[in-house]
Amino acid sequence: MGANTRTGRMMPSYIDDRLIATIVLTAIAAVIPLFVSEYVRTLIQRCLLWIPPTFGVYIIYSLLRQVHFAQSIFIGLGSYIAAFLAGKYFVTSELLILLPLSLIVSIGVAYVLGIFIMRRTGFYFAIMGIAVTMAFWSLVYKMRQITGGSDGISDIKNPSLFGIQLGDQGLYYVSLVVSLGLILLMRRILHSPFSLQLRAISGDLQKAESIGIPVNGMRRLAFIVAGANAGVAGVLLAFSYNYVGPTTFAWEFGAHFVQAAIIGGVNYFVGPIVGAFVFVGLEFLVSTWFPNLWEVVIGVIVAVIVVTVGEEGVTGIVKDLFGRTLKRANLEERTYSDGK
Amino acid sequence: MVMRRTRTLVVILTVVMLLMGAVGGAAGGEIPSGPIKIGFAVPMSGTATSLAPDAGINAEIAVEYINKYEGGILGRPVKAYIYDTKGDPQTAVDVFGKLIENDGVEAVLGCLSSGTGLAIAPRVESKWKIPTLLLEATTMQMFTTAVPNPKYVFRIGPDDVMQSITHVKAVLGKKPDLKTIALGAPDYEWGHDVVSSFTKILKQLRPDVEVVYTFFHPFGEASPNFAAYITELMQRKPDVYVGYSWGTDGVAWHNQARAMGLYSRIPLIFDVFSGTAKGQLATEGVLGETRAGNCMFPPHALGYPNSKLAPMILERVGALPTYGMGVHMLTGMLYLKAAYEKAYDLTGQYPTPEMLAKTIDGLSIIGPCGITSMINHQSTAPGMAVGKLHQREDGLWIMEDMLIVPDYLRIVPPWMTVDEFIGKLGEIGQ
Amino acid sequence: MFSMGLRYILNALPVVSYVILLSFSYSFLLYICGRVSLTFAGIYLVGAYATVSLSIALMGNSLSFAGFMGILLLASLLGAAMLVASYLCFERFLKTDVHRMVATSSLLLVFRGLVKVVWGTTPVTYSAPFLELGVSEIAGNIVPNYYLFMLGLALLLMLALAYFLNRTSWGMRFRASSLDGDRTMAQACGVNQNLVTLMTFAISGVLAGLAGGLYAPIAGAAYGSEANALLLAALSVIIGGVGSIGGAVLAAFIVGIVRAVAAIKMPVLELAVPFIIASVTLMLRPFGIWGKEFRY
Repeated sequence: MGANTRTGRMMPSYIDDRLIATIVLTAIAAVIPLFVSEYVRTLIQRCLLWIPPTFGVYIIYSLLRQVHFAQSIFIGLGSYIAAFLAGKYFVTSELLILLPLSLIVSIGVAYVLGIFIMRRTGFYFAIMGIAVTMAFWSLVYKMRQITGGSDGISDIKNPSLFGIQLGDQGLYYVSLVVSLGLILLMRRILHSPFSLQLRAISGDLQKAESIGIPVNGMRRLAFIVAGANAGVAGVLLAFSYNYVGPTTFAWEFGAHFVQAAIIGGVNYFVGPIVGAFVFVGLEFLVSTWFPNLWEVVIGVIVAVIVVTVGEEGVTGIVKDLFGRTLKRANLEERTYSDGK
Repeated sequence: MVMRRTRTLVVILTVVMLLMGAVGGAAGGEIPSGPIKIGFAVPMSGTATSLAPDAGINAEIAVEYINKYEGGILGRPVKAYIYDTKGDPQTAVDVFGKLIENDGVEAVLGCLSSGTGLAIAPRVESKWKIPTLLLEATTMQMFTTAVPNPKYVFRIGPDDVMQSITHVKAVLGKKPDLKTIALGAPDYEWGHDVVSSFTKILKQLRPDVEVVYTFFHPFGEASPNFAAYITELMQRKPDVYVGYSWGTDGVAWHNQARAMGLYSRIPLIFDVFSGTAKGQLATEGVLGETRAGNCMFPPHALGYPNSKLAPMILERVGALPTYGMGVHMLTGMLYLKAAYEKAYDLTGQYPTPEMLAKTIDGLSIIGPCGITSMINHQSTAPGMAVGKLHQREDGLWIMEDMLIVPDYLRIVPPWMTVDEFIGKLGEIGQ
Repeated sequence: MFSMGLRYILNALPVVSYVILLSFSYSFLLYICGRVSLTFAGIYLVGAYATVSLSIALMGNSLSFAGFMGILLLASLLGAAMLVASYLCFERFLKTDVHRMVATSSLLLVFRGLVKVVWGTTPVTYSAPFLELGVSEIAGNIVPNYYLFMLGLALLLMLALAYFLNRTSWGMRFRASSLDGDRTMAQACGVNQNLVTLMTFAISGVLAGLAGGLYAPIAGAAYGSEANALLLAALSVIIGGVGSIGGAVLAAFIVGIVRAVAAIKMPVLELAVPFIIASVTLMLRPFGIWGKEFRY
């Protein structure tokens, strides 16, 4: 049922509207660094880089109805690959080598982890994710000769693209292009048979199995897609701070992506994008406005969002407020129907 | 023709700019009105918080002290911008950006853990160019590999070699006949760093002393159980135990070790940071360092500035003095005040960040730990004195029988590497 | 050899006892009401702070054992009241498990933020019971009596709960509404589900508050201690199995002892070892060593 309504929306006129919205937003993001101070640009860059891992959580949530706490493993892998190859044991800082390398490593690790993590569901899946993340964290933390332990690795060189050294501004545009590319890729994936199969699995396991869907394989594939997203973002995150520490592997860090996805709204394709911007921006602003009280404020905001609108998230609130004006725009696109 | 006209234009423009520069320079002599903005980037949430308790409140206290008792800086009141780094290096970078680019602070005090310091320091040197006083971030990596030739980055906490020299000398001085020693530290870079430099220096000065047990306990768990380490320690029966646990770790260590009778079984215990908490019972006779929990106020400095600072901390925090946070904040503020005033006196101009940074290096001030100097971007105190904890009749814990190691025995000269200096320690004298 | 083995067990006792209480507080809620709720860790934090500050306020640094027991009772009642209040005002509006996990974990953030506002982040300790109960010697090992007191109290409470669940008629109503039974059926048979839920939350709150209060004299009440407690409790539930009292005790012993052994013999693994055990358990026995298969 979800599939029909969705393909029904693939009408050319809608695509035009969406295309316009996408182009406008991208243009804004491309022009903004010319007008704001550097720290705002760094912050926007961080938001942009949070989008792919949040999409990972979103895919696992919206397609499989599971909570994915283990994104920080892949962020950490990507970051440490950048830190080793472009910093500690300098080999290259060429993004065209580092990004695919991180992609391959993330896919490999996700494949292996997926074999046993993805066999579990619900609460057990969530805790398993946390446990594996913590195991990685303590490994990185304890191998201090190689990883620098809690001090991390600080002398990461600036990245280069096609052999040209990139400045901070250049890195911003690379981040913009990469996250935009990943968003488009995710859109493609969510409109493919793959996502239908996953929805079938989360709908009814036995039925899905009986019509010949390789249940475990498909689940593992979803985990791999999520991890690959985070791995790519990890490389760019490491370059944007020229520093990597074991906190990138901490499970609290992974939990932030879950919160971002929930805040954004897991019913909408734009949810992760909205969530990344709202979560990073809100956390930073609130914690600088009320340094003593920010935990209470953020906690209450998240709790209230979850209680009142649940999976609709901020996107849902915005849609309700400006329902008519946005009706035909990007926000309208639902990527799944919960069948309840 | 065109060439000549361009050249004339260039000459005129240069003259105009020089004139404007002179005017601007003359205008710079005046002290700007309004408060002077100082940024603080400290951990106020997350794991690091329990280890740097009430860092935000201590920053407020230091600023309040400067405004109330020292008349501000150059007559201007200080306005504090206090932000939370969450103990996370990436957040720290963003927070520093906001402080420097948005709020326009003139100097920053911040960064407790080495990780945040290492993320910040290269950016400060290359991009922000604002005097930055790191509170601790004391691993050797900071001024050896991360920023080898610092211009704007300073460090208030003692580096690991400096403090280890004090600690080894104190242990050898208080218990000359020791044969065996045990060391315990939190399991993170600083802990490993400090234990290895302690062992190295001890090997140099007293090769016959045997290190019978070294352990690293989990760092910052907030509710740790140390019983396994304590029983193991009692089995090994060392003559001396040197413990580097700090913050909540230190508090829990002290409670548990005391309850299991460690303090009465080992002849000499050196609790470097002897934990601080509200309601904490310290132990008489245990050695502590200047940053140590209940005794940051060594008797020789009970007058200025501590007689004013201690009541303020007691009133706001309820315990003295929360792992040296008060010490570091006020030391940093006093350095800044002295630097501003010296630079202004010497040049007659309101100091630029570069002038300020140049002035901070080489300054001497009287801070909460007594006379302290900034030498090669490294503050010499705290970490220079060790003494026995003793509770006075008024309830304040102080240090007795203080052993103060002079600065020339602790600071690595620029022409030596750390290892060379440690190798020569025996020759320099006891 | 025996003395050596005993040593690790004795060293692990404080962690074992508070993890028993805390993990059962969590799994009891999950078992009876089918609700995932992480609020118990916040209650643990508040229990610790309440015990310490009440004790300092009422007794200074001296010890009156009866007084301390009274304060522990107060702390657990406070925990029960807070958890019930949290259910009534907040948690009952949460529809799915994912919502409960995310919403209650942000509630934890609120808890630690409030603790920071009220008490600051300087730790508070009241260690008189721990220091003044003295030590005993068991087979050459020194063990503070307070450890034994903690373990005794935790086991006693577990026994009482087991008796309540398995031998009383009210316990039968609880079991009928649990994951083992059938909530709708129980409702149809006249078991007041609202009352059962409220009582479950209250019992869970008592256990969590008591865990905080009992452990506070050993490690002090510190900002941020709830994160570690939450992880240990959640892992113990995974290892022991949901809703099983024996499982909670067994898992707490496993986690505590293995950590104590790793701390001395293999420090590299000390932090990772509970997670490794939990992962292995999840792979071999997905529903815990002592647990049964539920819908979760």
